Amino acid sequence: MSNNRIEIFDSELNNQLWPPCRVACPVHADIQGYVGLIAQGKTKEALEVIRGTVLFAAVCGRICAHPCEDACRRANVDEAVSICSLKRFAADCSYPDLELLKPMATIDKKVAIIGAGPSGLTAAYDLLRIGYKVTAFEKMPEPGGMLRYGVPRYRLPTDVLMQDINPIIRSGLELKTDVEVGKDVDFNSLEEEGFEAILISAGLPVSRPLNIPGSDLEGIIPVIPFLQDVNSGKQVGISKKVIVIGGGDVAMDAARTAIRLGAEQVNMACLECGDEIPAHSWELEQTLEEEATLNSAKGPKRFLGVDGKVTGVEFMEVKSVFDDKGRFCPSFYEDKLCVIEGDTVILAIGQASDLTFLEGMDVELIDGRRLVWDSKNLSTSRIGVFASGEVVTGPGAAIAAIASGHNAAVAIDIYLREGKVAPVRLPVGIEVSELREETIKKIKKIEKEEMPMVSPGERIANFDEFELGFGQDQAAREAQRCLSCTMGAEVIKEKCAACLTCVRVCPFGVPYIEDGEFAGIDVSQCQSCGICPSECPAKAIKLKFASEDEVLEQAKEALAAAARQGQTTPILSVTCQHGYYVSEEIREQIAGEKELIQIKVLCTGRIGIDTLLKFFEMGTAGVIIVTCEEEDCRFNKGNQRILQRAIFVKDLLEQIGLPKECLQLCNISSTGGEDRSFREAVDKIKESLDLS
Amino acid sequence: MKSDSNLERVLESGEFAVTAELGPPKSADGEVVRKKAKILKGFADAVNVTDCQTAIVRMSSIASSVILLQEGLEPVVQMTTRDRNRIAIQSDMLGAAALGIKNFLCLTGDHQKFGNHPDAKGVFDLDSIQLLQVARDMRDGKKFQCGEEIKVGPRFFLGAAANPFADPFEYRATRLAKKEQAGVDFIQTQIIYNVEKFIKWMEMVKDRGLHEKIYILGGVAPLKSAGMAKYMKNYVPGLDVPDEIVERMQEAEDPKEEGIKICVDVINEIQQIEGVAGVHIMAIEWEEAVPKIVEAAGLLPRPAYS
Amino acid sequence: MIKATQKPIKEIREMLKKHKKVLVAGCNTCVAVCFAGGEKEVEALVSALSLADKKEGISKDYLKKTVQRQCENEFVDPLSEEVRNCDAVLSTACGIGVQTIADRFPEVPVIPALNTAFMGRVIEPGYFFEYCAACGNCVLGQTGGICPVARCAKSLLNGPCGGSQDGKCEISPDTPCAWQLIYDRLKRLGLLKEMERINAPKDWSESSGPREIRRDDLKTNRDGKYNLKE
Repeated sequence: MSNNRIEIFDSELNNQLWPPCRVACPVHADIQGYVGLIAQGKTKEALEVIRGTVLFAAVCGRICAHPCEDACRRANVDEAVSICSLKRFAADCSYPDLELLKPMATIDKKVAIIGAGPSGLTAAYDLLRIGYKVTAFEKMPEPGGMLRYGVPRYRLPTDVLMQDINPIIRSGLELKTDVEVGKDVDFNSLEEEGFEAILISAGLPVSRPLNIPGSDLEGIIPVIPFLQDVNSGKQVGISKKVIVIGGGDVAMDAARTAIRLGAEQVNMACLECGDEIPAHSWELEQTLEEEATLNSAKGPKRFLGVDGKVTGVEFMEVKSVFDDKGRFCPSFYEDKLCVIEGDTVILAIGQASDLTFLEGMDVELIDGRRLVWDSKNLSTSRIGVFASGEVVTGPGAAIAAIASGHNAAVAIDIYLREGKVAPVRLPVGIEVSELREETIKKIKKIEKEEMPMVSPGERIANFDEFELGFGQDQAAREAQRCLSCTMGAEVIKEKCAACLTCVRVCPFGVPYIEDGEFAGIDVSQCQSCGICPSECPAKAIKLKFASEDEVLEQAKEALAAAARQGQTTPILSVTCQHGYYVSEEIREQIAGEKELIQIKVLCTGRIGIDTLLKFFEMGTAGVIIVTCEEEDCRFNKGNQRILQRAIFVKDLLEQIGLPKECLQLCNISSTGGEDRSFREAVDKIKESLDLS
Repeated sequence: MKSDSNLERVLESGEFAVTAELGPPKSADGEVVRKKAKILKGFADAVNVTDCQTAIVRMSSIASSVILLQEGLEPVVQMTTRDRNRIAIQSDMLGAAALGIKNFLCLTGDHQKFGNHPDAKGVFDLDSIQLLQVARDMRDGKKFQCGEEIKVGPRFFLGAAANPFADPFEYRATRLAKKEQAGVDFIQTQIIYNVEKFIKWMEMVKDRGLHEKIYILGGVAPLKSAGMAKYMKNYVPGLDVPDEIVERMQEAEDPKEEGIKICVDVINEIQQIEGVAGVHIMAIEWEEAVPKIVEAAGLLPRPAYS
Repeated sequence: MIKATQKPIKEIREMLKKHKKVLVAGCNTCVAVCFAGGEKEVEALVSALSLADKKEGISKDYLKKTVQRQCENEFVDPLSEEVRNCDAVLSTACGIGVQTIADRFPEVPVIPALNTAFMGRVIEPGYFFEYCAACGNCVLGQTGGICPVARCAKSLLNGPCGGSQDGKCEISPDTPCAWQLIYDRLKRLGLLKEMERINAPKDWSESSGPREIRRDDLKTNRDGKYNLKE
C-alpha cells in the first residue's frame, strides 16, 4: 500500500480486467487470489491476502452477504464457489505469527471515531497504519457495534469476533467503551481536545416503531434492544408464543433467537412474499428449518391485548408492496383479516439512527435523523467531520460498511494532509465478460462441498455455532472449483512464432490466431489449466496464476530443506492437487513415504519438459509424477500431456546416462497392473537408484 | 529392322520368343559369367544382364554382356537411372553399341535403400521413360539429349519393364502407352503368378491397341522353396504372389520340381493369350532351371539365323 | 517451414568437449515450431547438458539466449555481448542460423545442436513431412499440387515406378506413393490427360548450388544515387 493514498484512485487497477466476484465485492477483495491459494493448500498466504482488504476475515467468513457468490461465473457451470465459507476456513486456521502491518510513519494528528462498529474500526485501522493517532468512542460496553450486539451468537460467536477486533486494538487504537458522545462527552469538545478530524460511524441503533393501535401494550419488544440483551448475556424472558413482525435478516435473527430462548411457536409476519422478501434466501431457509412459520403478505393492522398485555396481532392481507414505479407503497385488502396469537411481539421492521448528539452542533441534519452527506467525499456539511457506514448509507451488509470505512480513512487522510476534501473511491477494474456456451460445455462439473451443519433439531437447543466449517480437504476441493477468471494464460506477442500449438492443445478451444499473425488468448474464456504455457516451444505464453515458475520455486525450497536435513539422494514427488484432496488413500501413501520430498501442483499438465529437467538439475535424484486418471482430469485429459513429455525427457535422461527409470509416472487411484501405482513407482525409483 | 538383333528377328517373325536372365557376380571374376552363359546357350533368343539389381553392387551389365557376346549369346543390357546421370548414360550407350550390343532395356531401378550401399546417392537424373526417349532419339533422331547431332548413333532394340501388378492399376496401361510413345519396342513384365490379374491387364493393354505396337513378353520365374515364395510375396515390392501358389510350394514334396512346374503352367497359360509375344524367364541364381523350363514348355528348339 | 531434429546428446557433448563457457543460442521461428530449437528446447537442452556434465564431475557455464530468427544479422547482433564472454556458441537453429552466427562472430567456434532435415509441413502435431525440395523449377502446376521431386523417392517426373503398391512407396509401407497421390488428385480435377504426357528430363541446374537470387531492385543502397532515368 503506498503512502500517497490519492494514487490508488488513478490506479492501473481501474484498467485491469477483473473477475466478477472482485467487482461485486464492496471492498474489491482479491478473491481469486485467496481462493487460489486455498486451492493450493497455502492457507496462511491466503489469509494474508484476505487481510489486505478485510480485517474482519473470521466475521465475514460467517455472516457476509457474499455478493461475490451471486456474481461467480462458476454458477454457469454448476454452482457458485462457496467463497464465504472458504474465507472462514482461512480465518479459522488462526496463525499467531501473522503480523499486522506496522504503521508506516508517526503523524502527530488525532482522529476521533464515533462508533466502534465494522465501519469505524476499519477506518481506525487504516488510519493507524498511515500513522495517525486514533481514538474510538463506543457507547456500548464492548466494541463491534451490530456485529457484537445485533448478530446472534450462533451465527457469530464472541470469541471469533474478538479474534478479528483484537489485532486492531493492538495496533494502537485508543478504545473508549461505555463512553457515549453527546452524554459522556460533548461533540464540540472533541475539537477542543485536539481531534483534527472526526468520523461519525454510529450505525443504526434504533428500532423503528410500529404506530398502530395497541402499540403501548406490554410484551411488544423492539428488536434491537432484544438482540442486544441476549448478546450481552442478560436473562431475557419471552413467552411460548412469539410473533416477529418483519421480513429481513434481522427478523430472521429475532425468530431464531426466540426459538433458542424456548419459544414453542414462532410466527413471522411480513408484508412481502416470494422473491420480495428482503431476507437472504439461506437465512430464511435455515429459519424455516428451525420450524418458525412464515406468514407472508401480511400487514399489521392492530395489536390485540388483554389486561394491558399483548395477546396477538390482527393482520390485513397485502395487495401489493411496491407501486408500479418500484417505490415502497403497500396496499391492503382491508376486509381480509386474520389474527395470529402471541404473547411476545418483536418488531423488526427497520432501523434508524440516533444523531441526537448532533443537535445544536454545526453539522446539518435532515429531519433530525439523516446527515447531510456527500457520498463521494464522505464529508458532512462541516469540514473535518466525515461519516461512514449504515448511519449514512442505510441498512446494508457488513462488508459494505467495511468498504465505507476504507473510503472514509482515505478521505480523512487527504483532508489531514492537504486540508481539502476530495472524492474517493476504491479502484475497481473492468468486469470480464461472460463464459460462452462452447466453453461451459467443456468444463467439468464438480459438486459443491456441503457445509457441515448441526441439524435443526439439535442446534436450536443452544446458541452454539451450528455451521461447523470446512476441513482442509473440503476447503481445498471447494476452492479448486474456482475457474480463476482472468488469471489464465497470456501471449507475449513478440515471442510468438504462431506455431499453432496452443490452439491445438487447449482443452477448451480458447486460443486463436489474432489477425492471422500470432496467437491470442481470450482472457474471458481461459480456464487457467496451465497446459499451453508449458507446451509453447517459444516460451511465449505466461500464466498469471500458479505458474511453472512457482512450481520450480516450491521444488527449490523443498530441496533446500531436504539438503539441510542431510538428504543425499532426494526423491521428489509431484502430485496433482485436484486428485490429492479427493483421495485419502494417496495422501496416506505419500505421507507414509517419509523420505520423499513432496510438492503439490494444480494439474500436472502445467509442468513442461524444461521444468522436469530442472528438477534434476536442482539436485533431485528421482522424480515421481502422481497424476489423476485420464477420465478424472478436469482439463479433458490434459494430464496426458505430462505423459507425453515424460517420453521425451526419459529419452534425454537415457542419452545423458541417467537411468530412465528415475522419472516415474503413476496414477493416483491405481492399485497396480497396467497403470503404475504410487507404490510401484516408489519401488522402481528406489531400485533404479540402488536404494531399497 | 531397327537393330538387327536376334530377338528383334524372332519377334518380327511371329515366333513365340524366349528370353532369360543372368545376374552378374559380386566380384571381378568373369568366369562366373562364362559358366552361366554356357548353361543358357541355345535355350533363349536373348539374355538380359541385370544392372546392380536391388541396388547391390555387381559386375557392370555392359561388361558382362561383352563376355556373353564372346560366348556366342545375345545379351540385353539393362540400365537403371539410379546410378548414372544423362551424361554417363549416353556415354555408356555409345560404348555398348560400339562393343556390339544390340538390345537395351531401360529401367528406373530399385531404390538404393534396398541394396548393400544404402548410403549412396540415388541419381535419378532421368526416369525410365525419359531414358527410352533419349535412346530412341539417339537411334532414330541421331541427336544427343541436349540436341546436338550424333554422327553414328547406337542402334538398339529398345525394351522396358512393365508391372501389371503395381498400383494404381487402372493407370498401368496408360503408363505403358507413354513408354510406347517414348519409343519402346518390347516389354518384359514383372513376374506373373497371378495369371488372372495379368489377363485383366492385357485387356486394358489391348483396348489401347498397344499389343500391336509393342512386343509384350510375360515374365515368369521358378520358385525354389516355399520360403522364397513367401519372401517374394511379402518383401519384394511390385510382386503379386497369390496364396494358392504359396500353398502349392508348402505342400510340395519336391519344392524345386513344383516351382518349375508352376512356371511351366504359367507359360502355357500366357501363351494362349492374344497379344503375348513371348516369355521372359527370370531364374534368379538358378540358371540351370531354364533349360528344363524351356523344354517342358515345348519351346525347343530356338530359332537360329545365320 | 524448415524442420530439424536435435542431435544426440552424446554427439553434442563430444563437440563441446574442449569448451568451458558456452552460449546456447536458440531460435524462435522454424525450429521452435517443430519443437527442436526454440526457447523451451534450449532450456531443456541446457538442463540435460548440465546434468550430464555433473555426472562426470565437470562443470561448464552455459548462457542461454534465444532470438526471434537466427538467420538475420539484426537479430543476431545483440548476442555480441554474450559471445564475447564465451568460448563457443552452440546454436539450436537450422543450418542457416548456425552459419549466420559463424559469419557474424568468426572469432568463436559455432557448433550446431541440430540436424537440419528438410522443408516440410506439419501433417499433424508430432508428424513432419518433407514437401518441397527447393529444386528451383517448380512443376506443381502439372502434378495437381503434389511435388514429385520432394515426395517421390526417386524424384520421377513420369511416375509411378513399378514399386508402387496400394498407394505406398516401395521404400516404406508408411510412405505414400507421391505418384499415386498425383494420379488421384489429377483424376479428381478431371485432368488425367496430364499423366499421358511425357515430361521431359528436368533441368537440375537450378537445383544444386551454391545457389543465389539477386534482386537489384531490393538493394538498400545508401551511398549511391538512384538514376531517375532508369
